[in-house]
Amino acid sequence: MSEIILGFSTVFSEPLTLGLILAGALCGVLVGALPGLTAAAAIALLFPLTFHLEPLPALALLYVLGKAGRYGGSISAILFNTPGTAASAATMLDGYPMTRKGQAGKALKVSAVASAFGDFLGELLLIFGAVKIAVFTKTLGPPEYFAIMMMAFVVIGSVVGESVVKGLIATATGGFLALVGTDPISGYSRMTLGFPQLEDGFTLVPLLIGLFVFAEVLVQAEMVHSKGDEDVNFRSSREGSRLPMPEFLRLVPTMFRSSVIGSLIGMLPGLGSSVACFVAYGEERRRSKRSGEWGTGVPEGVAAPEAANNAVSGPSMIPLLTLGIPGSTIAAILIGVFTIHGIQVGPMIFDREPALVFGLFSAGLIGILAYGLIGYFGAPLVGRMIAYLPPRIIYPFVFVTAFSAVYSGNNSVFDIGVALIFGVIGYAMRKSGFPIAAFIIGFVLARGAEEAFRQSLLLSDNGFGIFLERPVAIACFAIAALVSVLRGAQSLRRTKSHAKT
Amino acid sequence: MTRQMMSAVVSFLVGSFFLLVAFGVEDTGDDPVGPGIVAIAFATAIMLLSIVLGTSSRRQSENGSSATFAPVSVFLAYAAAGLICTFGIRVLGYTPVIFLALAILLWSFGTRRMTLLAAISALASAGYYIFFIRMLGLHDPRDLLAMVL
Repeated sequence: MSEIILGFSTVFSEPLTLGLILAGALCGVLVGALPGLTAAAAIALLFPLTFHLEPLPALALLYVLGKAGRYGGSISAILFNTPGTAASAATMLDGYPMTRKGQAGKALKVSAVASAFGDFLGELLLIFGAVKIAVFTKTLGPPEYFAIMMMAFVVIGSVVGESVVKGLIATATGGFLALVGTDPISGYSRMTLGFPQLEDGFTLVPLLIGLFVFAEVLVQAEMVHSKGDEDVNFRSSREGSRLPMPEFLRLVPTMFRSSVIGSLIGMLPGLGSSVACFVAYGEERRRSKRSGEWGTGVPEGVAAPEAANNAVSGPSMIPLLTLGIPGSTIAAILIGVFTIHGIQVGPMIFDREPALVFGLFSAGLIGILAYGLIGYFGAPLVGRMIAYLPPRIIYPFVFVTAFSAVYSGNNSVFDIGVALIFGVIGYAMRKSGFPIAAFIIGFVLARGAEEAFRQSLLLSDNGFGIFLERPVAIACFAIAALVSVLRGAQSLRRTKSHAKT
Repeated sequence: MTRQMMSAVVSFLVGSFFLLVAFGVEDTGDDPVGPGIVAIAFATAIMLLSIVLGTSSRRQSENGSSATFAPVSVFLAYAAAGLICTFGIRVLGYTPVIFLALAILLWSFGTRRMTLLAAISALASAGYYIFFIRMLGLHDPRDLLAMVL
């Protein structure tokens, strides 16, 4: 408890941090509401601008941006039947019908309240759970870390995306590219193909901006050419804009159960908000006495997925802070932020940087309040802004903003080229069903996994046998094997049933 | 060739290239396995998985809609804007590059009124100059606006 008070006092003693939390909340809502631009893309864009900040303000800005972005996706899901982020796909199912019934304002308010509720519960789990888990993970050595990272590679690659094989290919590709540059053990450069700019390897920022932002520009250009601009029109009656207290109280059990689902899913690397929102929607619909009405515009159908998808945010940081393994794409990008500022994630961070960690938790709580209020009172205005700004105007600006963000990192023309090439690669990956999230997580984990592997062999008297001497390592390999077999079997069953029909 | 098979072929070729590059890594003898082994493992995994992908694509028919791609004009505009940004910034400086890239992309996205296109690009590039160069201190190799002003 004293640590969280320390965290709040750290945040409140730095006006810049507080200002950036509010800015992150506002930007996150705006960017999340734009169809196509995800919170991860927004973080990638702002990431290089935080290089000159101290660690806490930088992390606070990006962390809150990620949270607010997850919520912001619900605005376009509700108003335009287009999810701003994958996490809001389930919100469309009842959110848009509410808009068509003239209840857009109510739907937006339910979404804001449910998102903040779920995020708050998830954040509490992070604050109290991470410290307990870190005590255990401090006892782990290189063999266990290698096994955990291999498990993360296989599990994330298998679970993210539709196809197990494509997910694993994407993970392995990201992992390979991460190894380009200077070998951390021998100090010699490897696989640079003669480019001196690759001596330090591929930098994360151009990769992220290319894969998330430039690729999205190409996707949007394709959509504009195929569909053109669509007219949007939403109205909300005065009655349809209110969320009375009795109705809010009726939603509390739904929000609570969905928050629990989201939090549990958030702790498991690779699953994320897009899984949580559908699981919560399905479960609440099943329990509901009015399940037949779901899909026609019931507030519970908005509250459940929104509470769940935002409840993922805090717990997805648990594997990051305790093991150095990102539980989500946003967490994977935040590893980059920690690294840039010379901070190693893992269980020791709670001893070495308590003010930073608990400052970040406090920033999260303040950010939740900020985006909740912005969403509750400002979401209709955000929706109107987006309705009047067509993609054919927005996305050229996104391109030049992304170019500016890449260039601001290192003033490097090489980085711009890398980002543009990865933009095309990212577009091709999306078209072919290779998950970009798996690629990024593979990229972020690979160096650490390689280091742990080679350190383990240096420590071992028994060669590869060292991995079989550690129970945690054996358990991780077993889990990896089990998940890939189960997902593979599931994929095979789906293939056979498609072949029959 | 189905889309799935094409993905498998491309993945296999990428994996083969990676394997070739990884075999070129010198073993320094500092540790039991050397600096290339993990890269070789990743490349091999990619190749094996792409064989699995290709094999499974032969068994399943491609149901559903075929993948559509953006028209060539989009890629040309993207490439043009990209080349201007990459090579133009050292020659022209930041602000002209923003102006040209925006103009090309706005045109590509469907804005055909040239006065509107020029006006948006000019105002926006001035705004970007003020924000990125003046406020954030981004390095502008030419800073033509500063010379003019």
